[in-house]
Amino acid sequence: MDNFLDTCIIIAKYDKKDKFHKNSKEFAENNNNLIICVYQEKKEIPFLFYRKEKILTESIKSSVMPNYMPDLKDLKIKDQIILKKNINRLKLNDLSQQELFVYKKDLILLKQEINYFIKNKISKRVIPLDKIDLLLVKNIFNEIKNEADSNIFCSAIQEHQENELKVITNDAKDCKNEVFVEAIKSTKYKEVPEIKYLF
Amino acid sequence: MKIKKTPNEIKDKILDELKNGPKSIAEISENINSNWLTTEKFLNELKEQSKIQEVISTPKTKVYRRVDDLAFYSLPFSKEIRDNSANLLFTIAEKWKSETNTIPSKTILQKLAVELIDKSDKQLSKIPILKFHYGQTLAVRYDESFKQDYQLLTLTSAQNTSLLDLINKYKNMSSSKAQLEQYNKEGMEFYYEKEVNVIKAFSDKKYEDIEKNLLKLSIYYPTELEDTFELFNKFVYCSINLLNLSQEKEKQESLSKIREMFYLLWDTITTNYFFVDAEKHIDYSQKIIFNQIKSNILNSKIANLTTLIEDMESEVNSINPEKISKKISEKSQEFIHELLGE
Repeated sequence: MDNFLDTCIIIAKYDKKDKFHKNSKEFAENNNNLIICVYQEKKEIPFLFYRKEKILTESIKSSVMPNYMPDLKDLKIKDQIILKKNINRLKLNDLSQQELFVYKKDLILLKQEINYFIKNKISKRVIPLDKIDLLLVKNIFNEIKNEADSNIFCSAIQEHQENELKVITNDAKDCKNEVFVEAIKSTKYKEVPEIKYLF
Repeated sequence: MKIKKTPNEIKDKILDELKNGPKSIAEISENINSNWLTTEKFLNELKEQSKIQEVISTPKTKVYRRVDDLAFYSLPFSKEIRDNSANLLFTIAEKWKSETNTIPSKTILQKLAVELIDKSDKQLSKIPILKFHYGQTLAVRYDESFKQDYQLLTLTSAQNTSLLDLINKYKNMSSSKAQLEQYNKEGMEFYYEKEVNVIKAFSDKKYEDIEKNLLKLSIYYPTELEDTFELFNKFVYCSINLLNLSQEKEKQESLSKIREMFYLLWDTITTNYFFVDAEKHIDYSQKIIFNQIKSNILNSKIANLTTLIEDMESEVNSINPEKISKKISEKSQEFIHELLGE
């Protein structure tokens, strides 16, 4: 059976300070048939790094250019909070431009590790972007109010109809059996995948 | 009695029409008062004589320009913009010659013109300044052989004083120094970083400096250049990883590739900059021609570079991370953890 990795597992595998780092790393390294969806590879992960790099760039810009108004486009509320925090820390000399450049470099190197993992260790990327069932995405979104997760869970459910899979996650808040069951009501889908939490 | 125009008269009229920028057959035909077939016939003759070129050629539209059109990329700037820009360059060149008995270089002339506009008000400040490969420039080139078409501008006494001061400032300056002088001003940080730090780091072959300066350059990436941001971002991603390869030999091999790619990227980004700036000065009626020229030039550059950068990215994503040296501190790990928290 394929193991469908939620993005949080991939991030935790490489984020050494994540509380599920050890479990995620062990799982990813000791199991085969690891799969993800196209949405994760083409949309979610690139956009995640784009936003995180942007936080660092905007933080540095604010300290380099007097009266600079940070560009908040594409940043989520949590990103904006971190950005504001950085700007204040820079003002208070609790954080330096130099440190931010180092963090940006380290983030870029981390992104390479994740890209390498996806390119070389993931055996399959499922559900092309234009095949994602928008009705099912909408149903999931109604339950969890998160667009990226809705597309990912939708891809997992769709793939599961053809090839049995297990969703591997650390996200007990949104990735729940009852969410999947509720979402497939009034759709053509009959089965929902099993969910395995790594904690 | 209607007097029939001679072929040469028609061709002269067509060339006159195209003095003010590229035009479609329909526009030319209407403006010179000849029918479509006659116009097309003489356009073809002029094309064979290498006096004009097609800038756009689709089954539905053909747009022509004079081969000696002085506007960069033959963009359809208004007659007013073309005349004012060319006349200003002519006025400066003439003053330069009378003051120094020399002919100004093309770079110096453009840099001086930009600075004079910056310092001026009234009609000069209406002349567009556009960012291009080597910094700010006017919308047209200057060509001494078109002297007969130019007119001296009447400058105010303050503008004349500024011009004399600028001639004195620039007369002994090299073109590269004049370029740096312009890059040093506010709003030109992206160019300054590239010229002073990135290029120098490449020639010094100092990996850490290249890395540091590329990261610094990304701080100054102009936010309005959305079409080329992804390419720039991917390039920085690839370069940082390649510059941190553990094996010295592999790192050295990557350096020339990074450098080569950087120049292509710079060419594409600054072409984009030129079109973004130029679009603000194009009349609504000329937008279709403008967009077609933009699409011909910029899209092909972006498409070519995308292929190259995606190949580079694919190569980087195939490198075993163990071959990339990392010294990620505890502090950095903590910071990145907070950053990645969703």
